[in-house]
Amino acid sequence: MKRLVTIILLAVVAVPLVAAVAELPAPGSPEKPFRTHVAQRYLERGAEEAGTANIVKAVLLDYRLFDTFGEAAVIFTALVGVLSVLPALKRRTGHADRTDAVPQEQTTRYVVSRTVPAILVFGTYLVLAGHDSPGGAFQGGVVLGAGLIALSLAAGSDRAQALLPEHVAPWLQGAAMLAFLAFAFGGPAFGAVVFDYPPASAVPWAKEWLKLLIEAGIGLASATIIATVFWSMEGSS
Amino acid sequence: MTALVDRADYLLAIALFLIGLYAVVVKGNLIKKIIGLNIMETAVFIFIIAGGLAQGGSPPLVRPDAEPPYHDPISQTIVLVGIVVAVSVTALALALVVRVHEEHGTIETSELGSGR
Repeated sequence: MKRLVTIILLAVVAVPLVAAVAELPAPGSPEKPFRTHVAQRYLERGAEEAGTANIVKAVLLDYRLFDTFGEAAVIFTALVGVLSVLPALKRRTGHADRTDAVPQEQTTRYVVSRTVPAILVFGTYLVLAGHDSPGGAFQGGVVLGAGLIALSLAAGSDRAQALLPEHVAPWLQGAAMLAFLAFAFGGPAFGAVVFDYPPASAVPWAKEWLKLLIEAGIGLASATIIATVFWSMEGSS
Repeated sequence: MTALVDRADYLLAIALFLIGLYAVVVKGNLIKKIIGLNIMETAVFIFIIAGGLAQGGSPPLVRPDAEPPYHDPISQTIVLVGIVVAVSVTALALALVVRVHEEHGTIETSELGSGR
């Protein structure tokens, strides 16, 4: 009975989807909406207007910055949710009580100790390289966070948490929100609309530096939020 | 029929979406439900990316050596936003599962529903 209901449910979802897809322009066809609408303008003018070859970044940080603010707010809210659901992160100062939980496999420790520095460097590279090549703050931040998690798995969370002192961690977790706050109030101070970059005529350097500030904030926040979520789940069992 | 063969990318996304939906509906283990949710999200991302591809296109990096047509930068940005939201949803869902396990000692919906 349950199986029959499931099959009917899946069919009810599948039939309209297939019927709708059959009416869409095929992938790659020139009559796709994005070939005729605003995306083409972004591609033509984006490099000049946003000053970056990476049009995805131009959309993210120039044309649709407000969406990016929402995106950063979502991961910050997720962290707040996780921390309110799980008991507060218990930081372990002593190493003795945790050594049994750390895998003592020599291979694991060797591989992680050799790769984590490269992973962290690559994550930083991705944050910076997003300017004119594939990469970006979220991607780089996730790689940095994954590096911290790999370190936690091999060397123990206390080692990885030592990289993120207790009094610094909240500022890094909120880095993206703080960067956007500074941006939202800093822009009008230089004669811009709220949530817009100051005009180049007033402060020529402001746009590039504000973008770097936002990118760095998002990168740091993504990395620390992902690592903190992992630690708080690991701490409760 | 050829109309559907041309749109095989979309059909793959639909198939993946249904697999994820099946897992969400049928599986009793909460972790497996979350995995199903992630499969559904991946299906949506594949659908949006496939919708933004141009035949013989290049990535939306406007450099001297690149030439049009470019793939759609907006759909790639939307998927980037979507991935971040999906990760956030997964993190929060997993945290809730950890709490459920702490409170009830199980994450099987059949055992949770008995009302102890």
